[in-house]
Amino acid sequence: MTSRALKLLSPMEQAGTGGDPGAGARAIAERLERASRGDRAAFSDLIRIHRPRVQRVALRLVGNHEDAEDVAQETFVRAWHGLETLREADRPAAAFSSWLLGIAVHLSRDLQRARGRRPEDAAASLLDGQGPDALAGSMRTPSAITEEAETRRRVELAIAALPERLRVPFVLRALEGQSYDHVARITGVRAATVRTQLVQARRALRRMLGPLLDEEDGR
Amino acid sequence: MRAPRPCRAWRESLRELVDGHASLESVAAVERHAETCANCAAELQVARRMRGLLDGAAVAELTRAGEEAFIEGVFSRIDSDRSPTGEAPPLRPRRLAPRRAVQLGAASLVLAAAAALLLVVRSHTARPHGLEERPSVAPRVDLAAAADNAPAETVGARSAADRPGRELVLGDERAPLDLERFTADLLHALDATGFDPYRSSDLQPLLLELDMLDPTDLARGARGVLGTDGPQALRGAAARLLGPRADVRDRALLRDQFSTLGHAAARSLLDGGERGVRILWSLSAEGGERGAIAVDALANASAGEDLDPLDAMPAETDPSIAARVAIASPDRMARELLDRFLATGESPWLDAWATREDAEDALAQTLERRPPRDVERSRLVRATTLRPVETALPMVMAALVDGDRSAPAALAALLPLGGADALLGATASGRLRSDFEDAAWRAAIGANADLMLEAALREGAAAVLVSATMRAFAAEASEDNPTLLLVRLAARASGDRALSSRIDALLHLAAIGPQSGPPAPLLLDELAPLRQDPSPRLAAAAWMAWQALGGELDQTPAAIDRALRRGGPPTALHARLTRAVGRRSGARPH
Ligand SMILES: [Zn+2]
Repeated sequence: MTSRALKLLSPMEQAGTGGDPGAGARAIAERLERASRGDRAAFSDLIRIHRPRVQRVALRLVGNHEDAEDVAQETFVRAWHGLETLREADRPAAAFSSWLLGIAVHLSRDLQRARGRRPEDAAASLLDGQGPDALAGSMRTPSAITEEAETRRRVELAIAALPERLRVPFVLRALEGQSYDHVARITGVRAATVRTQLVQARRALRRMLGPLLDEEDGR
Repeated sequence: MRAPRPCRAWRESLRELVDGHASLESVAAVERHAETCANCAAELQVARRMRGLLDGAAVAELTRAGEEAFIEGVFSRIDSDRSPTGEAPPLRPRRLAPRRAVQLGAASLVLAAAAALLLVVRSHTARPHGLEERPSVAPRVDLAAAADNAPAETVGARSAADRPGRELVLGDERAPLDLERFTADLLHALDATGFDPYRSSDLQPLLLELDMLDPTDLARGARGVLGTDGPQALRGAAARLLGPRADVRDRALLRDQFSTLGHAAARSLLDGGERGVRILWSLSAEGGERGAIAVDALANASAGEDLDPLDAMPAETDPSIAARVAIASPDRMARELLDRFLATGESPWLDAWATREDAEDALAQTLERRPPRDVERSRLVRATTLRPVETALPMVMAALVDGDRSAPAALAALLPLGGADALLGATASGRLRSDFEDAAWRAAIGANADLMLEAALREGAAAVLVSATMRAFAAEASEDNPTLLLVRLAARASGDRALSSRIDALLHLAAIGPQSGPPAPLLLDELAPLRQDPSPRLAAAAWMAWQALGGELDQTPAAIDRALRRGGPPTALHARLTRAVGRRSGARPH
């Protein structure tokens, strides 16, 4: 499979977490193998596949696009230097994905801590440029647009208001589709702990989103 | 037929649904169950809405634009950091553009997201954002308002007193708060009262903070609740939550509310470490109920393992309170308590030391450790009076010679440990000041007259015993009167040398007459045989004692006279006795 063909698959499929686990995973494994021998074209393909998720996770954790991109780039730099270690992996494609997210989570945390940033700041920045304009392309009425933007704002605030130790697993599982085991591997805690953290996270979100959850559909 | 799965069994499916991981099969199964179960139907709806909100909130997908520049950036970083160590360089330092700085500043000024959310939640329909409503310190929890919003029977009552029997109990308020447990209990308690915590309510902040389990937020929530006049149990729980996170204002608040929060506030102060403990000590000095609760809390802490309240005890603390706190710990070493007593001379520490099992060991060790100085020796002597050790004897005797006021009692305690012989020896050698000798004898006879008698008979020191005893009791009457001792000495001493001591003892007995102490019949029983003693002087003395103690004149004066004369020529004693007996028999109608 060529790199051109690879691009036809959606990132999710390529990462092997959805749809056909065979072809995408094999393609990634093959690129990993080449990249580990210094093939930059192969690594570029890997970046194209994984960048969206890595950067999204970083964005949820650091709270602004600039830093998120910074974290994402650095994640791939570190990955490049550590590709060798993936050679022994059982399922290199899946392992690579978790590994990347682990690096990104780690770097994001470091950055947050170094700057002593609080999640509410992150939320504020995250919402930059996500007002009504973000939905300008839709065909809704202005009031519906405003309402939806407000809803989205509240949800983002709620997620951002979760303490980091709950937010990271929640983002990885509920927004990035990772399994409990993957979340555990990425964050370096036991799967049982991840389950507990997620119970707390869901409960906290439910409280914060209470009124939104009560609303009737379509109103 | 298969038993239906309990509702709890569907929870995991609902969680998967929220997380976006549910399979079509599991969703279909929950839906089927929900048709017959209103609870699960409601939960399913909430889960779906939550998932819907999360799907809607997904941050905008990145566009392909900039992808190549991104990749280029990665490789240029890779090329630029071929450092010798192979270590990747740190993330580039923050470049904060002025525009962003302004925005961030504005954002944090306006409000912290969590606080904003609370307000958004509260005023969802009333106010669009509530951004300007950020509370300055903590979200205030208006429990009275919560009660108004909630069904009449809810926990959000104006005060617990309004509704006796419906009081919210949240664990043992003397114990530290187990957060997970507390949250569960609280929710359970709220459920039980039909209160719906998911509805907009002013209890939300606390519940929310509890879920966050973030120390800063928790303290904020707890503070908010503490500042209300809500149910005592909830405020107590908030106090306990605040415990380790309390700052100086919180501690002041806890102190102010000590009367109403009692044990919960005390627990909180304890959890706050040394500063909180100091407040408890100062409250303990106030006495009354507040003081009692504070002392109780300090004692509990003392018995616990984490912190020793004595470490933070102010110097001016009432020693009786301090000692009570100290002995609450079963592990507190006698040595420590004794050292505190030696340092301060305060009796409560002495009493506390004496309650410990290893009290004697501690005293012996201290005596071994160092030759005691004046003040300290006096204190050690006092300690010896309570829990004597043999090695204290030389020190106590030295103190007795020096006129230490505690020495007689200490010596009395040491009688079985060589003290009796030591007292006899010191008396015989005339080393003691007379008033201290008397005091020592009084104490010794009061403590164990038989022991003194045994020692005197063993050592052939009957004369010393009699004279010292008589001197000791000449000056003042005492409960511990020595009559029985004297009778027994007269009855049991043997040998020629003891004869005069025996006679002395009986004559002294005759002089003392009936007193408090052993009942007369007991004395008379001991005396009776002595009246027939072959020594006419002893027999005469026995007769004198007999009649002084009110013994019955069962023989005529003439018969007594004859009996005494059989023993030898009449003596001066005989003459005195004859006069006495004659007076007595003459006074009676015969
Ligand atoms: Zn059910």
